[in-house]
Amino acid sequence: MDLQSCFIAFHDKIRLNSSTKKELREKRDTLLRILRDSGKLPSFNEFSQGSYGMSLGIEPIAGEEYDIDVGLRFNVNKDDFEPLDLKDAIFQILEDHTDYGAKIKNPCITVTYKKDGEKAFHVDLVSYAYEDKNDHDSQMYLAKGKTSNQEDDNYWEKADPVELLNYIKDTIDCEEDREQFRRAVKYLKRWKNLKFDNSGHAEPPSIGITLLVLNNFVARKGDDLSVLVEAVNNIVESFHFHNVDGNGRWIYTISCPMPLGLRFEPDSDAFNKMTHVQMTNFRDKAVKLLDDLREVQEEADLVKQCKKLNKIFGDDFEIPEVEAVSKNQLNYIPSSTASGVDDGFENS
Amino acid sequence: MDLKIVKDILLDNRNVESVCCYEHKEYKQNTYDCAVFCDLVVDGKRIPVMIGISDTWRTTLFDFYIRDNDVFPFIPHVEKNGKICLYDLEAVLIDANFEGVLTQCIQRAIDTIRTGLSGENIKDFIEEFNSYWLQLPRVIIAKLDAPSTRNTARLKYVYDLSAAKKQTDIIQQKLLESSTELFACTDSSNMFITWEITGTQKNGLYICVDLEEYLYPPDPRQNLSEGYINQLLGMAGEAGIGRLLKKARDPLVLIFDLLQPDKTRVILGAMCSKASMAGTEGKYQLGCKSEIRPLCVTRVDVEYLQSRTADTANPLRGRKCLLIGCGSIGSYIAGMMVKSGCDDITLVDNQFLNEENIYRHLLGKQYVGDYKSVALDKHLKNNVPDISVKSLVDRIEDLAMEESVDFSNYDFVLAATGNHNVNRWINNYIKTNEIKVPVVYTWNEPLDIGCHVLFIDYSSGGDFESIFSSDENGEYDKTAYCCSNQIITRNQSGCGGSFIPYGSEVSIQSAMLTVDILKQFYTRRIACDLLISCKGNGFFFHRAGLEHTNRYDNQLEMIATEHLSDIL
Repeated sequence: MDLQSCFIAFHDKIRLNSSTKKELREKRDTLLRILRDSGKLPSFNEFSQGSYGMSLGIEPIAGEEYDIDVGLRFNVNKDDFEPLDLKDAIFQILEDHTDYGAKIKNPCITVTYKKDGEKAFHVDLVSYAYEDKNDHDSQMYLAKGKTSNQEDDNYWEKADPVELLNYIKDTIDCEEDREQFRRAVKYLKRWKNLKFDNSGHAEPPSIGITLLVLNNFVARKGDDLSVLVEAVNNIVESFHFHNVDGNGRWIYTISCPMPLGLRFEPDSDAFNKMTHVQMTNFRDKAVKLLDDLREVQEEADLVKQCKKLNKIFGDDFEIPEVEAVSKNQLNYIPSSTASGVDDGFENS
Repeated sequence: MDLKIVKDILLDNRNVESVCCYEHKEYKQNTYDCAVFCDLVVDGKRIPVMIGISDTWRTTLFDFYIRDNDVFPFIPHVEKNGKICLYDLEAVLIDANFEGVLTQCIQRAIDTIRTGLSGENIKDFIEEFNSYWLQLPRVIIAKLDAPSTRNTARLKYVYDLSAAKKQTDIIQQKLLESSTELFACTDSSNMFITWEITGTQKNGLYICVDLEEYLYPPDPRQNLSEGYINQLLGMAGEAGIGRLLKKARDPLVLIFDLLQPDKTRVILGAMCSKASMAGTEGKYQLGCKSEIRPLCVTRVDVEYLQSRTADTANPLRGRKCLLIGCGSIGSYIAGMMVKSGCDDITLVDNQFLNEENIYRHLLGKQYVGDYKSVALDKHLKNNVPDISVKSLVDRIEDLAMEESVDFSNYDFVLAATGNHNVNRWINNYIKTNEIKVPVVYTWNEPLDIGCHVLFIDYSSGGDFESIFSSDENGEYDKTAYCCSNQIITRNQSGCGGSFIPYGSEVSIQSAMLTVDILKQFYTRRIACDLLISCKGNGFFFHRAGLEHTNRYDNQLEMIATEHLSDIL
């Protein structure tokens, strides 16, 4: 047993298992069928986006829900519709579909499902329209807005979700390296789930972490720890000092624009929903994470390394039994010389 | 205090954000080794708090304050300066694990804020009502001898500011004013005598209200309002307030004895100078030209004071006790009996308290030369309110013969002379006269070998004689730890001055067992006559060359209880 095998075991614990994926897919497909059969919507093509689409989904921590993001590319011109027209229509179709119903949020419509009486899953349906419905390579627009009230901000926002997905999937050529990249992102997602409250925008967005890790990714064969250290170091280095607040606290900012060549709004940034204070909190925790990971690197004993990693990543990062570790160590003790062979030592 | 360790613990907590740590910082008039300014995440809201950490955290835990308390809603368990009450430290064991304790306290603070903001724990206001009332501005501490039955009545109070008024120094005057207490009672003025309260007695009102809906304490960050008092007056209904008001004097003192819907009793008060009460019965409203000062009422009546010793009504209260013997054992028994609620006790002893007594007697040098019973009488009355104590200087045998003492007038008898001959006399007297009174016999054995308590309920035919037997050497006590026919008494002052040596701790032990057996009897946990034998260490006993009995060896437990009929 070595540290890498412990990381792999941790990954196996946190990644979405196939039965969960199947259940999410089934719920997604059911919703899509309902939407299509309603006859109240223009035709659309769906695609998986978010963590599911990027194969970066992980098991939620206790008290949180599984989710799947589905992009709906409506075959319509964005100028022919108000942003809320399609969302309202979807909402009305799915309003009473589950006990928890549907909810219109700024970027999507969320349908929540329960399991064993508790909220367990939600499906986020994101609505897109084309610049030109007859040209599916034309600019896509995301429908943003929650209500039809004049005070609320309803608008079409330039988006390029499919190309973003492709960028993330295709940047790393080697399959093995790509797997390592995905593992690193999943580890960091589990870390952020544990260390940040998920209300508001205090928790750094997964897309931001994904892009930051990807932008500077260097594969290290069989050494997920080093990859993590470098990834977190790059994240920390991405912060910029902004100013000092009234309490003498240094405030930082971080930015991660959408990749060049993708057709998002010019000022699109993965972290633009976070306040400077939230960004500073993110930095504080990332710095600590980096320190903790470096301590793991400096620690020679496997069990102690795993104890530190258990503290960082929670109980899904298991600490091996001492016997299991020492058995392996015993395997590394050289065997004694065979009988009858002069070993060069004087007899006592 | 390592700030990095503190910060690391907080950074690992998903419910803590915006952490700033400072070393040796003062906050709200307290200096902390480490002061943390951060936000707690409570149901998605960010609550700015200050966590004060001192090196004494192992005994005092941590201080959590809500920083913007001036605008924060009034919720339970948050004091008016914003401090969150996390745990009642009484009888709590604090683990030495700093991280664990800090994490747990953070969660507790979050839960307190969350349940407070949601109203989930609003009933906690009821349990701690007085603690919020006490925090009101300009509060006066009032001590009330509450009546045994709750009825709206006239109140007599003394609020003596004369000492304060004599002060020429303004600061001293204010200090004295703020510390002057108000004393009040309803039934009679005996309370003022008992507690030696002087000053002009004035009339106020004691108003009882059975609430139909819960009354919550007012926000202690604001002055007590007329409206709050008028709300209580409105709830009082037709309680005869009009009649009582006629005799009330300025400043008007109102004490409300409230019974919440869950039967929690809350007593609070208000004092108002230049007050007027307008309205009709059931609809009185207070008008006050000067400020209304809240009275934080603490009860000093015996019923309340004794409730700290028991969770329900005291079983010994209201029972008449005859205590025979006011020596070492008897003195400790008497002290424990009155503290345990016994409020009627007759003391019998014909001996003086001497110097040689004081190291194993409740009383000390102050009473040397007095009769033990008289001295004990004085001591008990000086220290415990509302008790009836009678002292008789004579031998019990003579008192009984003269009919000065009638055993049947008592609920129980305590035989604490430690003298088996006297005990046998008591036993014989009771049996001969067929007096159905329970008796507890208590005696010590020499040095540190042990002590015994024998309970006999004479209505079931028990007999003290059953502890004796005889052999070729004569009579002996079957319960004894000390072998018979040994010289165990000492004599330091000639004939008549012999005594059995033992320390005060043995007598205290005997007294504790005596009081306990009585409480068991009066709470129906005893069904027969019992002997309780407490086995001592015996170190000094054996060092003195004395021998113990098989009974001592055979007793495995420190305290053994057996039926009288089973004593072999």
